[in-house]
Amino acid sequence: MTKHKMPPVKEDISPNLVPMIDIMFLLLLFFMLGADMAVRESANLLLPQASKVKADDSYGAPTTTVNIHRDDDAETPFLPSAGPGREGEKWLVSVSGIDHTPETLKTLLQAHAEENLQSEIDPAAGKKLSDRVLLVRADRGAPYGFVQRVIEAAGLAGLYKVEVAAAEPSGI
Amino acid sequence: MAGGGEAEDNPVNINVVAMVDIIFCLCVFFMCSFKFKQLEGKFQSWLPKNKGDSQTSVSDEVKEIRVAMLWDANRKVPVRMFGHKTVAEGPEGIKELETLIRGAYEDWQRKGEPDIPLIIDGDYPLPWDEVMAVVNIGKVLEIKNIEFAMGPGSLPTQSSAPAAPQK
Repeated sequence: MTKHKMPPVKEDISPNLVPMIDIMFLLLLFFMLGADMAVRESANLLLPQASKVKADDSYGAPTTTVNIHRDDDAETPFLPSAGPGREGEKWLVSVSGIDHTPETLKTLLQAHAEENLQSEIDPAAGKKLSDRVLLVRADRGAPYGFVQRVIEAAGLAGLYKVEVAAAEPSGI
Repeated sequence: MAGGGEAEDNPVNINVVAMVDIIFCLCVFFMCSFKFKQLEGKFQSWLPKNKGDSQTSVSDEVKEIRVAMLWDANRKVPVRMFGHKTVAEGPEGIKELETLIRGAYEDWQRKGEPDIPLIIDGDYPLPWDEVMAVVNIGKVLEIKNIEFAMGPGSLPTQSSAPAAPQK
């Protein structure tokens, strides 16, 4: 008796990786765009240029970043006036994308300072100071009085590690 | 000869459509992530621990290098002063100021006072980059103590800058 063998069925079971990679890239893209809409620490502003500026190497150190930037359409500027000769200019002081008044800024800096208080009372200051760093990112045209107000509020809160941001002249 | 055969001779088929798809994805990926980022740095300016309260005493002995920077509201330009000397405007003024500060700092160093502070006393409406230009001079000259003078914190009613010269 003759046995008829069925021809072997060739089934291609190898997965097609190309669409999977394609979808992975699309997902990555969606997450990147989504993350970009999150609140940024650094506002978009033009920093003053300085040739001797030190590169920012304080990764991981607790830092509060205060941005001073201009928005002439703002309803409530940080201070009512930018000074004589600068009428019509409105300047904002923001932390993590939230605009502040002098009072709310003082409260916020106080709260931030208390998160990183030193364990012992500083003999020179007569109180516990904070190890937290305050980074002031002021636009190159920002009125000096605004920066003074921020530094003053930091000093009262016990934040003595103040840094001011500047851009390297070679920056694009 | 390599590359000279027919298409059916090549057993490996490359799906070009999928490859182009992924290349476009990569293109969009890099376009979205690419930004002209400004190179940022910072100056450390630790606040004095024993100053800044309302009970600050004024010493008779003035051991400091002070740069006063006023704001001429009429002409909307900064007026830089070193002592009683008014420094030239513009970039030349920055160079002149650097020369003056360098001279004063070297004098104090010769007197055995290397920790003499450079105090920047700026007017309220003064643009911040003018202040930072003086901070940069201090850093170039390697002055250890650079301080910002603090006023009473009230808004000025008028500019304290001298009147513009009559032409």
